[in-house]
Amino acid sequence: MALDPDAIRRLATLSRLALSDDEVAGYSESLSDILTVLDRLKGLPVGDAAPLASPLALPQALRPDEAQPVTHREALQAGAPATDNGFFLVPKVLS
Amino acid sequence: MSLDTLSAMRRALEAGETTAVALTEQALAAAEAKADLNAFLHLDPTQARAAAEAADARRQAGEGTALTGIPLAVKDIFCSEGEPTTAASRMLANWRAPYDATAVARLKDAGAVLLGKLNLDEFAMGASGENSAFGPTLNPWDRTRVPGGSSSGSAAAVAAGIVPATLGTDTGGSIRQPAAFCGLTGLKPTYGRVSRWGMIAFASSLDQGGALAWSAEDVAEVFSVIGGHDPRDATSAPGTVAPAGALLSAPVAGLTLGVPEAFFEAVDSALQGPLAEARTQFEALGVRLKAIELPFAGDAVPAYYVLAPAEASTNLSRYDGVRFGHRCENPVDLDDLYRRSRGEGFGPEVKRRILTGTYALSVGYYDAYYRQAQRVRRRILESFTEAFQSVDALFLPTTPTTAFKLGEKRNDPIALYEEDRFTIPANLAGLPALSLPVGFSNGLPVGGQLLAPHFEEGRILSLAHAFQQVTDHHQQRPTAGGVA
Repeated sequence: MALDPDAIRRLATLSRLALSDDEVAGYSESLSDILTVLDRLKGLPVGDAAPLASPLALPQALRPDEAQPVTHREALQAGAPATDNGFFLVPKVLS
Repeated sequence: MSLDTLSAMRRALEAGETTAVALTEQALAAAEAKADLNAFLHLDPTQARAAAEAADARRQAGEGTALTGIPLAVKDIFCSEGEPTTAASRMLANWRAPYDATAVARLKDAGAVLLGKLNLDEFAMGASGENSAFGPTLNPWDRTRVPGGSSSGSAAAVAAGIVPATLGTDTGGSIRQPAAFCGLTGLKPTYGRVSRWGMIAFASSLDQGGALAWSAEDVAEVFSVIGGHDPRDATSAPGTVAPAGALLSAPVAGLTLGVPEAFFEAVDSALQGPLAEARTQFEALGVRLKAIELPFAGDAVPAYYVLAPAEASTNLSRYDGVRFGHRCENPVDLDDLYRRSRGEGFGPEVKRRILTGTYALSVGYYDAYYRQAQRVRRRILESFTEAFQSVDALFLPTTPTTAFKLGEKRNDPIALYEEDRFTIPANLAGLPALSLPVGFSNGLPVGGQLLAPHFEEGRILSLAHAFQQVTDHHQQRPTAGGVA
């Protein structure tokens, strides 16, 4: 199945990715090629196989409900683009 | 011969013939001298020298471990406190990790000397090392060729003799394929064996950390330190990993090795000879070979390239220009901030996978692609489970070709995706898998792959170790100019 430039732009919107027109054209071509590979899945006789999300059937991991030291807010926020007094700064959301 | 293997360095340290400081200076000098390979994204001589001095003191106090004083380096997808951790992406170009990944912390606790961070395909997405935002890594065997990926720097740094072992990660073959292209032994442990805490996520149900070194013996030393349960990773498998000696000493005579012939028929003719000789060599070790079929394993590529991008599109949504990483200039609103920060911060292949994953997860396509890929994944796991009813382990090629030329597949994503066709099945099934050097073709290393049931890393490490006792492929080294 081919993905035309409009389809790529819709995916880019869903993915929150700004793409140039050249990028849109390039991805239209390469994703269409990739889909021909992915379409090989469609005819496979998997029967009633249950979907497998994780390769190990491990029980839910639990740990004691005890307080553990965590990385401090200041250290985590040191890598943020813009902060103020412990808050992350973003453009105004409400007018 | 200079010391370039972990075991040789360990013996020399234990015998008092060298020091951690001397080994570290040797490694730092080699890293500088071979900077053209672009194996390292970040070197930290100050921290390395301090760790080396501490390691020498620790050994003098009689408190050393196998790794104390050994210079190592890690793929720049593992967080290391206070150091740049970029995932080879512009998105994280200026980010420093606020904590150590569990695997890194365990190496430090063992007294290893960490030299710095190694190049990779951006966010571990690639099979050539060319997708790094900071330039491609070169293959020390032939600088006009790729070292493989995504753990490109992890393989090149060992093959170039800079450090004797490294950490890599393997989501679809990213430890084993570069190990094969660079003449090394590389282990992808069972899913969940090595903690993913502090390992930047690509596809969480597939990602697994592991080690690359010249020999199975050296890989086992690193794996025994980094492996084992970690309560901070909810998908971490329970239990500890045996010491290296135990991992290497399982008897191999009498084992049955399954050989899926369809995989051998699909490799380039140049690899046929070394792979055939390896099969004969295993038989000489008393291993019985049995031809088997692995239904659905040949369909792993399309299943993987639905599941891995789907998980990546979700995992990489955290890069939003708000909490860490790149932020665009002068965003007009929040949506513009997200879109332009991500558009500018991610490279072409990462964007391609996010778009592919978003497509596979979107309404109308979810059942046809994502659910169907999960069903194929189930069948692949069942295929292996069935095979392991009659064989103890599997032997197959690691790659379809030897290392290809830089640029040769750069603009052909599908050709690169097909590079992973022999390695992906083990990731989908969560199996431990190891690539080991089995010979050379036109001066380039050829890799063979061993797979075992879940948690049986010791079985494939023992098979590889036994093979390396009677072969010398893992002792070959690139010459200064390139091809040996």
